Amino acid sequence: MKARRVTILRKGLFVIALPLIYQALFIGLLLKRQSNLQEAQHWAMHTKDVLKQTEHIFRLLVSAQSNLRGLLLTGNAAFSDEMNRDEKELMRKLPQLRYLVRDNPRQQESFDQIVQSTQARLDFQHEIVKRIPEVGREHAQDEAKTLHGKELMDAVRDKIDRFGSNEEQLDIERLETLRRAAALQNWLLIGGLVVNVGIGVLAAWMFSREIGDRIRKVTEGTRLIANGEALPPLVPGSDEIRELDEQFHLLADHLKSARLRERVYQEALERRANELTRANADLGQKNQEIEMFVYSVSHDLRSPLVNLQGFSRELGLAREDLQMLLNGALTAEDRQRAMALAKRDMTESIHFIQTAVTRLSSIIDALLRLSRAGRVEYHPQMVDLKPIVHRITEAMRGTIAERGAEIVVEDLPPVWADPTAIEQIFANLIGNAVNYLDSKRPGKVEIGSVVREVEGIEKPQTYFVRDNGLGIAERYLPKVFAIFQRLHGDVATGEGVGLALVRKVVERHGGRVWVESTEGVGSTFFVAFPADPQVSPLPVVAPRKERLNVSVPNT
Amino acid sequence: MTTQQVTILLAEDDDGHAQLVQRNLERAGLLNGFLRVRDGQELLDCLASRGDSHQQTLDEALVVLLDINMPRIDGVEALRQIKANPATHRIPVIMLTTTDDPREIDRCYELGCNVYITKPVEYDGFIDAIRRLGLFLQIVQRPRNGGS
Repeated sequence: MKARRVTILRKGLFVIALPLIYQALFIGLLLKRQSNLQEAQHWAMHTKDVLKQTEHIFRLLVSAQSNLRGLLLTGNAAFSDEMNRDEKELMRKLPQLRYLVRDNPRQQESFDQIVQSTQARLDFQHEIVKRIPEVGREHAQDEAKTLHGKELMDAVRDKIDRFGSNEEQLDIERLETLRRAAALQNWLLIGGLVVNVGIGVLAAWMFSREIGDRIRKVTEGTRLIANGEALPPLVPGSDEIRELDEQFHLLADHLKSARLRERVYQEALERRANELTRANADLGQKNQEIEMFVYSVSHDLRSPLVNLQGFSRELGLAREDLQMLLNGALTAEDRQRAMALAKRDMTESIHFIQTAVTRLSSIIDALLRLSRAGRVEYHPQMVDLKPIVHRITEAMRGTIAERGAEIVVEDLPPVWADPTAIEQIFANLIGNAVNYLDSKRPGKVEIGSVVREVEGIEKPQTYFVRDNGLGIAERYLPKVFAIFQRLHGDVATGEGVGLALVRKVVERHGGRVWVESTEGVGSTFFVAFPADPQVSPLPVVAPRKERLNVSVPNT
Repeated sequence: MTTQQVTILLAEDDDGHAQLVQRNLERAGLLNGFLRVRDGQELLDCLASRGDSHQQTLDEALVVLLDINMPRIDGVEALRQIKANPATHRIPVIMLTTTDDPREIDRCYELGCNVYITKPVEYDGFIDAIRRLGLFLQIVQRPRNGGS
């Protein structure tokens, strides 16, 4: 697979190689042209050579003719030697010339004619020389003077001239061919250059289209990635750009899933932050409540302590007085005074000390009860309220009868809760309602359920305990559920822990308790629970059969 | 200067505390006029009735001892009403309380209480305070009386 890949390097090489190959061909063409020129020069030289040789041959013939004339005139044998030498030279030169024109059949033919004519002339000379001893020198001279010899010589000249002109004609033809070839080559050169440039441009254009366009696409892709948009399909090809694009697609996928994860984490984080904020607010409120609680408790603990301290001091003073009286002889007046001390002051002091101790004890009991309400394990179940309310009103029958109160119990839907806790809640609320009825009018206590939106509770199940009793002044409403806050302390006994306990128990059920009241008209206490067991903070466990430790405070 | 008549009005819901205050006043010989009410409402009612019947004279100087934690109207609210009412705002008020919460002390002084005493009281000091207040009352009230 890797071997088949067309990489950018290969593409680049191709783009560079294409003009290079063309240029190589082009250089070949130029070299060819160079060699053609050299050949042309060579042929020009050749022609000159041929002409020179031809000239030489003719000169030898002329020389031979002169020597013959000399021989005929003088009879000097030296001329004969000269003539023979010229002839020999001629015989030597002729094959050379023949070799030079071997390439051209026409010239060869023409040359053969020269050779024939020369041979004819030489034969004529030989004939003349041979005649000298036979007919005498003068006669031979006469014979030689006949036109025949001149004709032969002219024939040779004629042949040589034709040969030379042929050769010159050939040279001209060759030059013409060369010129044409050069012109053609010039055109080829120009054309080649144009084609070369064209190929370069084409290659560059293809490269840019192939590489540039795809790189642009990939770059555009990175911009899309940065914007978190979807990527277009992969760019075509199998080179590094394609690989890069594949990597970018991979990156985009990773980024997408990372964004998704980030969003999930973000949402989780926000949810957590909200939960924390809520929990923090909750804790803040709880903290404030605890501070308030500690303040109230310490205050309420000190009140009986003041009595303990004050009256024990009183006892001490009374004891001193008694001692003083008993030290002397007791008069009737002293005796009376001592009796008063013992009977009135000391009895009173002891009474207050005992009351304070009882008060302290009951405060501590109340605290323990409250603490237990916060710790006791709940066993939630669907609780039918009717029998519980019935049991409470039965237990309070004496008080209800004493106050002449009317108890109305409406329809009460079941609720998911701990039955003991429910009993605690309603015992307190009903107990308060009965205890703080207005003696000026016939009392009425209603127990029922309403449908209400309750902040912080999904699908709440809300109950109410309504009375037409004393009611609570608006400025005391915020303190109603705080511990040891007693508004009508003179009307009924109690530690002021009942409603604090109710609130604690209700809140442990994930519910809320609140009061609406008008002083002198009556109060309505509302208790809301999450109706759905799934929403309830109470654990879903098997309910226990029976519970001990049922306390009904404030009654 | 003769011993002045001072009526002491105690607002206290705790019987024991009331008894202790009364006994100590008695022991100090300051029980010329002593009246105890059980809460702020009763105190205000009492003051109102005295005002209505014009019983308050120079000879009958008044000091209010006020507990803070009381049902119905508490001590702080009673103090506020006393000091807000022109008919009663000159009455010296001693706050008696079990708490020494600085915020509450500040609030009481802001509302105009004259002395703030934390229970359990050191009764000698307590009696002293009452004596001084009675004296003070006489001094500041004399010119006003003389002028009228």
